[in-house]
Amino acid sequence: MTEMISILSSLMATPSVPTSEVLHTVNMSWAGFIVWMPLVSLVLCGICAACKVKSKAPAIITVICLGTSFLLTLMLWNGYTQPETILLFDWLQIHWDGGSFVANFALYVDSLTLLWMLFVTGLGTLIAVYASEYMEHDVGKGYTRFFAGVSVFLFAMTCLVMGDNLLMLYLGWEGVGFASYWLIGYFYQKPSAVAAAKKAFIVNRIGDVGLALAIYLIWSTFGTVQYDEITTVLNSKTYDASFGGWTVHAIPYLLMLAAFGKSAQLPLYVWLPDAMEGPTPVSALIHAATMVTAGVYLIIRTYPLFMLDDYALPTVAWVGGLTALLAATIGMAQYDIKRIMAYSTISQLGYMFLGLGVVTSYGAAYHVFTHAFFKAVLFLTCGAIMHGFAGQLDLRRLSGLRKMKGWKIVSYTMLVGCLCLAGFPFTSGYFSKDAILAEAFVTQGPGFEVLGWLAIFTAGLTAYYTFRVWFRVCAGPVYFEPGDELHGEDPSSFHPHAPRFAINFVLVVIALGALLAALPYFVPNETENIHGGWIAEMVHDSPARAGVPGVIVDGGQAEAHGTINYEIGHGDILGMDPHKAMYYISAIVGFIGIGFALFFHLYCRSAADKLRGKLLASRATRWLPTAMEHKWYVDEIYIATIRSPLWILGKLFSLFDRYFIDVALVNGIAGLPRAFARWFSPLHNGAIQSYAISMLGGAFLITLLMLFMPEIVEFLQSLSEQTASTEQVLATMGGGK
Amino acid sequence: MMTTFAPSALSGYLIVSGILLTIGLIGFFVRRNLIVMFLCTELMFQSAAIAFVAVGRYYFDYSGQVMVIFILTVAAAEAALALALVVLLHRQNNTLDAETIVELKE
Amino acid sequence: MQVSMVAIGVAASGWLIGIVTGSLSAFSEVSHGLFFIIFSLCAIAAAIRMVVHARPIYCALYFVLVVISTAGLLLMLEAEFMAFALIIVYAGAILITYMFVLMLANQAENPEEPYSQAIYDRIPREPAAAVAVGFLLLCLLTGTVTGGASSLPPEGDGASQWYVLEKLSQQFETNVLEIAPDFAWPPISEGGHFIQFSSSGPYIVSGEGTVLELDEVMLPTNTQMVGWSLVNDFPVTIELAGVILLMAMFGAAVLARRAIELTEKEKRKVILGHDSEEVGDDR
Repeated sequence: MTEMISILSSLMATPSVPTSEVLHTVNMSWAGFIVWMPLVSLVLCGICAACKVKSKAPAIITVICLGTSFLLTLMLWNGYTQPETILLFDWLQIHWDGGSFVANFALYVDSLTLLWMLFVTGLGTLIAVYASEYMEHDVGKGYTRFFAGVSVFLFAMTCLVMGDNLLMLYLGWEGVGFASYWLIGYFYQKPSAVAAAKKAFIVNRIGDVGLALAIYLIWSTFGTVQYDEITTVLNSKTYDASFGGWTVHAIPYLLMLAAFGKSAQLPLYVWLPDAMEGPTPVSALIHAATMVTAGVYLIIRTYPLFMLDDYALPTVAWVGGLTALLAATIGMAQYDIKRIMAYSTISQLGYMFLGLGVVTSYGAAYHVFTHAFFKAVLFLTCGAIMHGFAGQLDLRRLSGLRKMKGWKIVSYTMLVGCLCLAGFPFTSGYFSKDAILAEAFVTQGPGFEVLGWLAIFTAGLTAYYTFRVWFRVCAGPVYFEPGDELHGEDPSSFHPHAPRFAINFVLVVIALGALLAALPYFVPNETENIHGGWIAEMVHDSPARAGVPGVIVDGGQAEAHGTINYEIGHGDILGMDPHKAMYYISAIVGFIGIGFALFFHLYCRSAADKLRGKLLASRATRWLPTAMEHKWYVDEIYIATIRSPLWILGKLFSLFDRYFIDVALVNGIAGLPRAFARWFSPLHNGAIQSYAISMLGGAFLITLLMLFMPEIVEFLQSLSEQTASTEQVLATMGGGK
Repeated sequence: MMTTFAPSALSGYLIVSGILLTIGLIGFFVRRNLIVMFLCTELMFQSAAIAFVAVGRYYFDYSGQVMVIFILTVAAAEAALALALVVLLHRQNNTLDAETIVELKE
Repeated sequence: MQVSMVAIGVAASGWLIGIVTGSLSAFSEVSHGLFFIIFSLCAIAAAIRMVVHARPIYCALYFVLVVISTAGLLLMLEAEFMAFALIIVYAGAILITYMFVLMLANQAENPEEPYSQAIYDRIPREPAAAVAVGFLLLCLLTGTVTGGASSLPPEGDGASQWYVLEKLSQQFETNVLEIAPDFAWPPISEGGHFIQFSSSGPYIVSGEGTVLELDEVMLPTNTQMVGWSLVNDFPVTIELAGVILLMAMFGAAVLARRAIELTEKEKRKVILGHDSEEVGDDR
């Protein structure tokens, strides 16, 4: 065991050197292929679509391309020594007399990027393999479209993560939003899927506004949008009050808004549960592992900017904590297992933001890393269940799966995922959640202790609802009902078809990954004064080093809690040191949750229904289960407060447009020439005599003019003399003043 | 009989000419029969003749009367051609109504 | 109808009165004015009746009356040649042509009632607009005439007529010697002219110093004056007038010669009143 740990640690150890960038354009440009391979896959899938390919070729293409990206990432990681910028091509270079705006298509490779890219590309490849079997029902129809969407998504995600400036991040941001829309709306004939896709895109848009404004403010305050230059400016402390006080304080809040939109926090989380309308690989890849972590990545990348305002990080922490609690309560009352997993994702993302807020970017990054694996495994098992039981996802109608033939792998990988999610001792989730929970008590901040206890309570709820799913679905007596997607089979003679090699293989690999993700915790650090393992090393080499736990160097207080550059605090929990105590507290809370689930959902399943009945019957407690089952009516509140007024306003505007602008302005202005012409058109009636009358009238006028020309000229002259005289009078008046 | 011509007398002749002109004009606008329309134009020629001769007599300049000769000439030529056209139109439309000739309508 | 009869009666009686008064006294201003009023009223009345009458033949006839009245007015202006030329050409030629065409083209509304009028003769077209416009024009003309009467250049004297008489030397000589047979011809010319003017009228001075006052009857006639003016001052115009008449003749001949050629079918349609294909179908 120790040898394995040492081998792994030697693989993963990276020396930390002072940050200085070296521009390698020659021998590192192969790293650009990490970004280009998904694009190649997209193009090839497009060609397949144009040729109406009816085999699994798009899947093979995508897997090969994404696998190449993953291998290149591994190579990059292997040869990593220091943060580097790899210029791919010049993109935007606008210079003018007062300043410049430079945003090149370049890759900024530091350890944080590598950490993210490892699990993004790795999980991307594995999930593409999974999807090649999962989506086989759609071969010939939407198969190619699906893999094209996955390729677009991965291209955008690599741009987002590996870009060296905020504009590339924004490009990736929008790209993943678009890919998410495209893939959620994969079943475009279902109105609910289309509505969910629109909802996702629009709610993300609200966040995108924040990001765009933030980028602009960053540029106008710091003069650049490149990460390294921003860090330089910040470190040299050349910013002062003359930097424009309010913009510097507004930047973190706008970035926060963007992150909340993309990572589904309060109040912008409503799109994520609906996004489960997409195929399950999409949910696993995008809405569990990669896209929703983009918000966390954004905050980690711009972490120094969040230090500029005193209340930015606490806001992040409180929003994260409340979201975690809210989502956990909702998840407890849902019956659709995919939806439960979606709420669990929201809840865990809340944990990550809580971690960021209590200044442990290490904890947040670690939780991202582990969450990617175990949530992916949970979604993929839900998908396998859906695939095998013709779309059945209701946990009231499935039971005892682990005893069925061919479903053992699914059940046990699901168990692994559930254990990690619940924070069972010595799983990866245990360590990552602990890092966050402990820090909540260490850092001194507004109400962080309350937040910590709320987070612990939420951990208990998480354990409960996770194992509710597992005990209901995988344990107990065998029972199943087919779902809605029977594809023409007869319901009475339905046999579930168990997953085959591709799905099982991927499930096993990811489950192993989830288990092994605990290991980085034990890797000894090579950098002095940091502790936290390999993840902490990776995060330390990035601008977010302020959140890496370590020892304060100057002052020589070797045991003080804090980071290298930033003293955090000396909180405690119940009188004990949080880091040590949290191991036990979270374990106890987890066991309590699992115990409740065991009782209500395995040993005495009817007790759950009876409890629910009792709560519903009594007027004082009726609100609890109904509100939880209806997701606290958040969607309805949004519809009433935001959507309805906008809809009414839209209606008013359309009425205004139709009856005022169209009628009065457009048609009125169009009608003027027509009316004018109609007025004169009787003149053209073709009758000689009326022409003669008109001619006579004209001749009459001309004769009048000629006869009275002198008088007319006199009159006009007198008029002009009058105006000239008035002008003179006015001029003299003005001059006089 | 070389009486001089008072200006008031000249005015009288000119007014008569004007009245005849106006009547001819009104007739031209009002009547729908093509031939009667041309007759009204001939009436206007008459008024022109009176006016020319009156003013010529006032100044003892015989160009006025010469002008009337030419008016006569032109009126004759015009009448001939106009009537030929009217005959043709009548052959085509079988009517003399000026209201039927509205092909130049918009 | 009655109005026109009244007008004709008035004109005729006025003429009688004029003859009577004219024979009683020399030509005086009163009778001049009287004849002027008679002739002009006659012209206006006939013109109005012409414009209003429903039957086109009657319009042409009333136009003849207008022409005669105009000729009378021209007579008042001492333009007898013009008056009779007008009557000959207009009433005698142009109007006859008009009547021929009217008779050719006159259409009855109803074949059973050949004496009823066509609809387009009975119902006028926008009389109100026409009358309004005409009224405006008349105001303009009348206003100009009466208002500008004071600013007319002074009237001419009759000297030009006497100068033309000079040019007709043969006639001049004959006329002078008729009156004064012992006049020494030729007279003295001063300033290029034989005839001089004094306050009492024109006179000529013979070589021997005899002063002869010339009478108005020696003036050339209106015909001579018009002829002289025509040939002397407007020779080219006469030629052009001739050309115009020639063109009109050609034009009329060409135009009226073109006949619309109907096919057999169209002819049958015109005769029968309905379409017909058979050869032997004629009733």
